[in-house]
Amino acid sequence: MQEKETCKKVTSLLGLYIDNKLDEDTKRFVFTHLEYCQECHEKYLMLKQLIFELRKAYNELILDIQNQEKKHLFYIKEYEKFHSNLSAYFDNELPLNESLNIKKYMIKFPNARQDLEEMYELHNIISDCSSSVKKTMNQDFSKKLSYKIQGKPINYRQQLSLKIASYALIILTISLLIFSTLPQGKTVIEKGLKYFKKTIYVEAPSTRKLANKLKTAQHP
Amino acid sequence: MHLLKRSHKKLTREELILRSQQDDYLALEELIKREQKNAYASFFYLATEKEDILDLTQEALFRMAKNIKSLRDPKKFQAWFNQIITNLFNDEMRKKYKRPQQISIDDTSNENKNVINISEIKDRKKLPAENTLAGELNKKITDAIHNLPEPFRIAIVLRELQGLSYEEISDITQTSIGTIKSRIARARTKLQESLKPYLIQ
Repeated sequence: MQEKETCKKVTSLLGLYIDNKLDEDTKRFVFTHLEYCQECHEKYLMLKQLIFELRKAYNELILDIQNQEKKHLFYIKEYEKFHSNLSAYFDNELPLNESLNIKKYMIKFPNARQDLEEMYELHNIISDCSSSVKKTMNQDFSKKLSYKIQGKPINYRQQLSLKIASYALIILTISLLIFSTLPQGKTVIEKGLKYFKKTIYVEAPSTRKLANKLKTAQHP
Repeated sequence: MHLLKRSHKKLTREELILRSQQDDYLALEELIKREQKNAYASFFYLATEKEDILDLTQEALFRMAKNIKSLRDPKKFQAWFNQIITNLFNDEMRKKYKRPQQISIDDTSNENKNVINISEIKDRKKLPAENTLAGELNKKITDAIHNLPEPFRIAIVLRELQGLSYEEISDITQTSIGTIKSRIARARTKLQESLKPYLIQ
């Protein structure tokens, strides 16, 4: 009866005994009990083995997790490097060895190619957008600016055409005057006037008065 | 005169530059005609306020035409012209910060508020001209680019629109190539994030 109680006591203390956390007296008490009690000794051995295995497994697990994290971190870093270099790779601005690294990475991870495709897509939509912006620009500065640089007034072209027109008008009137002074010219002009009167008389009866006036003016 | 113009249309850009450096104003006109849309598109993405764009374009083209003789290598025209564009844009931004903020006197609707109505300013850029742009996507792209911080915006516009090399961009913005590389990469990822629904098809 008494022995059973001591056995109970000892089994409850076994965990602490294994971890060596008992004071000297109780330690000696457990030790002496384990010497002669076969049952408790077996329990002791089993427990010790179990704890050892558990600790070992736990440590392995921790180590494994740490390794995986490292690996993960490595992958993330590798990806970040790839991504930061990708835009320069896209622009053909990377040195040869680094662009080779990018190519290798894309062979290793085919999904990474999608990033590059996205960049192409972005480039395409930006160029589409900019070309439509260019279409909205409908002003032409070329004439204005070249006149500005040459020191000509902005409406230079209009002035030029006006000048030409006025010169032409002057030449025409002078030649008409000269023509009318010639004897042949006089008859030609009279014929023309007659024809003019006729057409007015036939085609526009309402202007008959005007025609008569012209007649009287010509033949007083 | 007309025939001469015809012949200018067939010339390459470098030939046009060489001719306009020798006071051939028709060549200069043709050069401006070819480059003005390009400059306009650049300013469209760089400047966030709509009104300035045409003025800025005209000024950039004028500076280009005026200083065309100082360009030594016609092959570097693209970089040189973009240098003018970015310098002009930076000047304009500096001016804008110096200028006091303007508040409309006629607008009585928010008289009681001491704060400037931000929504009013934002609305402006989405009004007339931008509505003529075809489609929602273009608007989204423009907004996404406008939302980038300024150095990133300049880098991405010079790269994507103008197709300059990193070295040329770093010369223009006076930063290192490494910075340009990371700026472009980050601008791209930001644009990809904001345009994600339109990129996957």
